[in-house]
Amino acid sequence: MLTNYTNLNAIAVRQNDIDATSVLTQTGDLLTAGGFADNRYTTAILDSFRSHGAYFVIAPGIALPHARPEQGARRTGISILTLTRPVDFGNAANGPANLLIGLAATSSDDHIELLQELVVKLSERWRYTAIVEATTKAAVLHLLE
Amino acid sequence: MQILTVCGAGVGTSLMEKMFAEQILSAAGINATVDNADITSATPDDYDIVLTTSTFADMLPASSATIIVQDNIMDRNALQTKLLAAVATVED
Repeated sequence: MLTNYTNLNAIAVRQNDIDATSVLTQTGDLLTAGGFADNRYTTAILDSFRSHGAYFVIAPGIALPHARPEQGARRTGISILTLTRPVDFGNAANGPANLLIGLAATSSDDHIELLQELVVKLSERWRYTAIVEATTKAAVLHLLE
Repeated sequence: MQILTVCGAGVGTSLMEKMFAEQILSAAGINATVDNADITSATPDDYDIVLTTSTFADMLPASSATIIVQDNIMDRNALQTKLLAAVATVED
């Protein structure tokens, strides 16, 4: 179950922020709040953005910021940040994103099931739209069930 | 057939690409091994096909591998088309 990999502390909805660095920081901090990473992980996400750019925008509207297991991941899981306005990270192919899913993984392959479920859920476009429009954390969690 | 997927950290995008590639190849009855790697440890010359996003396609060391660039990770139809076309080329 996808809901085993997140919790209400790791979710924030309808944020107004429009700055790329700031929303990435929030996504990382939510992983920390949810118990999935320590503070170093947020720094590593920002470092990855600086050195590799916005490849973590994996599909139109959807970003999957993450770092490596040894950069502060504590427990495999995800954080979720939704934005009222999409933020442009500079990914030409997929455009700006209004759904950020922070990923923490404690090894290079222990989260295949998590990614699998995430992709199945998010490839339903209605579900992506409903998550982005949800006004409460509980509603977001419910949409991942 | 040896296929490599490449991303920045080796735990997110490349793992998704690996998952999809395995599903597509298995459904098409193609016998292939799919590995994933981060850009710093990727060795494209050991593979027939490399699957990655445009960011990392530009950073890959020169090799004889066929490079597939797919930026929308969740667009399985596009990935399937590109992957099966590349497999056909390699098999020739």
